[in-house]
Amino acid sequence: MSEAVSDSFLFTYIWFMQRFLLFLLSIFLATFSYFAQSHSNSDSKKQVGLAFGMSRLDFFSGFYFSKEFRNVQPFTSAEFGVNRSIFQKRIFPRLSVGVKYFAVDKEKFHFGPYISHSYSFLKINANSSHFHHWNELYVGTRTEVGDKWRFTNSIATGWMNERFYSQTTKRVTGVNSLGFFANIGLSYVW
Amino acid sequence: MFGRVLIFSCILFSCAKKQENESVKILGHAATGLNMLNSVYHDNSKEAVEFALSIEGCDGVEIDLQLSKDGELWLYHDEKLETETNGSGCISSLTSAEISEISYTTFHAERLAKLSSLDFTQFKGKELILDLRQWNFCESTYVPIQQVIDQLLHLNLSNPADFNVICLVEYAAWIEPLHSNGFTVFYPLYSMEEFSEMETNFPLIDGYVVKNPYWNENEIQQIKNSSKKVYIFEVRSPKGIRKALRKAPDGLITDDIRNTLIEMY
Repeated sequence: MSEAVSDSFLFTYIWFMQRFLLFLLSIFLATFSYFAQSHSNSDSKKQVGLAFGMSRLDFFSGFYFSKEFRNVQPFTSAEFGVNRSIFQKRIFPRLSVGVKYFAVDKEKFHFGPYISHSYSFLKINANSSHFHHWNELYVGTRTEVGDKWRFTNSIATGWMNERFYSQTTKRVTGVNSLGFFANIGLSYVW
Repeated sequence: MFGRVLIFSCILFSCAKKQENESVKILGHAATGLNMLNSVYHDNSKEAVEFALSIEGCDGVEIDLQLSKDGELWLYHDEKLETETNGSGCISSLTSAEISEISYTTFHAERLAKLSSLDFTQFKGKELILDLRQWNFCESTYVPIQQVIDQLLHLNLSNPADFNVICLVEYAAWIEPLHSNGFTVFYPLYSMEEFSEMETNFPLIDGYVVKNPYWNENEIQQIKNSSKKVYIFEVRSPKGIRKALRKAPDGLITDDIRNTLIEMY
């Protein structure tokens, strides 16, 4: 009986997570395509970059892409956990979407708040068929120095949730905590 | 092409078998580790114990126990309460009613947990190491061992049916009374000379815990050859975990359960 209940919990959880991620992706794509279409002839700029940072889970390295529209810029990034992926040979990806707003937007100095949502997953026990999932919703500040080539820095903190199905307890374990993220990087704007 | 490489890498890494030591038990130090940045809960909290035990592959936890003024065992690591909580003084100088009002100064503000408040059904098939603190830090006196034993017997922890309990003591005078009451007793070792002394003076001891950096594989094997269990602690980094696993102990008391399981499986 308890296993049946747990399975239904798991099913609900997976069902919810799939739709939640699709929802986030849809919002991001819709916002992004709106900016891309309605301002394709304006002074809209694109930005790609590499970044290295740390969170409570691991050091993360990866690339990001954003499209500028005046001061508001949606962005997306794909990173991987360095310790787990390289030194422990266990792939640990982290995908993020977010929006940054440059309250200070000078020629060579850009600074403002940003909000992001990140999702990462990791198989901790390879003998298990279950992954650990992390969702992070952070607010912080973003600094970019330079014109075409920019040094970047992000510092953020906020809600972090870890969820996993435990074969031991036959139920989904979820825990909320305070997370943080900080990174530095180099980007190119065109 | 990139997609194929990515898929191949995923398969390669996810199938990589790290160690051949699946008989090594993995236990959380102070539940989910001491002073770990990635720990969700404070060490030795009830929440941390439940969280550690829910991770697949975690074989149990080690917890630190101190006796209160009215003779109850509480989970707490440090000497003084003010270092980690909103209370002050020592566990041994406060009553259970007073301690129950104290919480850790953390994000979750976990309450201090009494040993009797743990749900022992969650330990089924697992191992519980009780690090028994013998010293009353505020009054500089030894804790009365009989009160500790009475508490443990009251909770039926001398020989529970479906999980293992190990008492870890640093005070050799406690070995015999605990052993004679049916408890499995471990002692922390710091050198092979001390091991010889312990084997001579306390042959009934069931096992030892040793610090990872100071013991090599041969020494661990020597202890195991004397039919004693060996658990390694001070295990944190992936490199340290790999080294500890290569020594093939009976158990690892790790500060990072996740990293240890990744190295193990």
